[in-house]
Amino acid sequence: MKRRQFLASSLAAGTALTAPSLVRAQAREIVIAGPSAQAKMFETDVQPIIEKRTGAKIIMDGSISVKHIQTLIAQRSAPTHSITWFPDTDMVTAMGEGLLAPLDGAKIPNLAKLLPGSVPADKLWVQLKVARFSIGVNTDKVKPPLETWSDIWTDRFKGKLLVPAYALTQGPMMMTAAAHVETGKPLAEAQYEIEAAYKRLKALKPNVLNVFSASPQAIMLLEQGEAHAVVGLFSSVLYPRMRQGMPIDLPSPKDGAFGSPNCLGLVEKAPNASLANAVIDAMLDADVQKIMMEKTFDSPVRGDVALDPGVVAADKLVSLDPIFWGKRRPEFAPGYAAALA
Amino acid sequence: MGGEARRLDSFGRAAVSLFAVPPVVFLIFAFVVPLCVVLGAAFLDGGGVSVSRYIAFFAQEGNRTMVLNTFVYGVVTALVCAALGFPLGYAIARAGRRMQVTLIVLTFLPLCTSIIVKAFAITLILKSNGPVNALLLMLGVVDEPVRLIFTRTALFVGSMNAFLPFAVLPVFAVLAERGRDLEEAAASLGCSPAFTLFHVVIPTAFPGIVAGFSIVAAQAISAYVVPTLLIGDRFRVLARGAYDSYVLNDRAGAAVAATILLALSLAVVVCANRLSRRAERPA
Repeated sequence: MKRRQFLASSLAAGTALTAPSLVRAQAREIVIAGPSAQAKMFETDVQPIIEKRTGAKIIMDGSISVKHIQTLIAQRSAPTHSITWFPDTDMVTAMGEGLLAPLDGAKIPNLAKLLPGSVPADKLWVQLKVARFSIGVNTDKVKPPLETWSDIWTDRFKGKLLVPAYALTQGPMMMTAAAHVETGKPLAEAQYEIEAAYKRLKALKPNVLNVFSASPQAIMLLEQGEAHAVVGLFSSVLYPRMRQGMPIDLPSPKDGAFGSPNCLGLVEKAPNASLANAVIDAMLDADVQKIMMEKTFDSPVRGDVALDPGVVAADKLVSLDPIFWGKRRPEFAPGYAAALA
Repeated sequence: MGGEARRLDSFGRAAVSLFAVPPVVFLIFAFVVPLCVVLGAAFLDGGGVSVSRYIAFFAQEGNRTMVLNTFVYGVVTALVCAALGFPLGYAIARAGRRMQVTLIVLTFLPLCTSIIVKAFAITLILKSNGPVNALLLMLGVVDEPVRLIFTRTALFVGSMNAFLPFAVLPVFAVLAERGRDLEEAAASLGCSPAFTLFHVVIPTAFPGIVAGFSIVAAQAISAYVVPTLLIGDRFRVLARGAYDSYVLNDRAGAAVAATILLALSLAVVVCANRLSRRAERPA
């Protein structure tokens, strides 16, 4: 046998042997368009359970939501992804593009077992868990402890405060906190007071050490005491470092802490849609919710999951109006940057 | 040269040009096509070509500041790197063999480290209880720690650290290639070291200095990581603006910022090249 014939025969034999398994794999395959920051946690701690429970072969495609949305738009007629895992504001964008199919309570029984408000927008998505955003503090430097949002405007934080860049998920939260302090309205009502937010943000400038975009850098400076407080840190980012003995904490101000829901949606024309429904349902199971809470310190969306110390009930957190911020967020970016420049 | 030789010569050129096909094809897909997409997103509005997005972009003061920041940051960084890169490149070119290798390794070793790690390191060095403030306090220059991080000083120090090697290499290459004959001739004719430096060495190294300036300017103008980590959103640059627009799902805004960034970068590089050619032209 000549070398070329041998190579051709080998290739053909290999294809014949592997093709059926590839086809089988595709038939049970569910691709999730999810956040890269949580891909490792999901693949390690959650995916094996879901795969065992549903028989699905899950592929977690971790990236930023806006990139996922562009991909879903490009593949609108024949999507690769079955499930979206986005913040709620990005779900609004996906909804506006017609990328989501309504969730069916008959196919996802767990929808009926969640906290009120967990399945908004005519069931176009469901909250998976809620990340807590608050003010991270260095406990050696911030004495007495923070009590309310207005504390960060006081002189004790002069040049020692890190605030989030607007493009981060925390940006609108910072705006809302500023509007709340300016108007005295509750956080949920203050989020629409944009001019008040700009005005109060300008007053914060003497205290601002920097407007950060990289949370790891913000955490590093907080741990070292270079920054005394960081507005808009995730519990999932700060708590692991705190448990390693760093002098940091994430207290909730008396006037409220923010919640940023991570949500799941079913892609319109999703491949293996029935299996995707089963995967979504399994991710809402109580034991899976508990595992995710333990690993991320995010709040579960079921009331029957006992909360770990430091985890706040999801319904006690203030979530911003996803429709308002999902649609109008870009127009406030220049004002935010100008107020803090 | 006979006809046969000419045919062989042109055949050789054609064969050699075949080697260029893979990179050209790659560049078409990796650069030209995306560039066309970006240009389309920036200029196509309502079914026709329009500059309305640029008008809207420049109407906002924050965006004008962003363009100015980017230009000033790119040019100042490149000028300082060129000014520091010339003596270092000259020293490397004229050093003995062993010292030359040592200097080259020391100059280019930082390029083996991630730019993110370097930016974090600069933050640690410049923080209020970092080594720079400790030194200033010890020398009695200041009475209490001064704020150095997230300032323009930090930005430019970090940028020097990131981009300086790119200004050194072209100067070294030019001076190493041309040897020291001219300098020795100038010395044998009685020229002072200062005269030789300004009338022989610098003119000889000028194409390398300009090449280094262009490389650093292009990199600094399009830099994202260094400004983001060393000064943050209080000194906004175009690369950051383009990213933010994209993340906020404003693709047209991102395309406008990206094309302005590209135009700035090209303008600086073209001007530098013209300057270099004019300097090389005999008087």
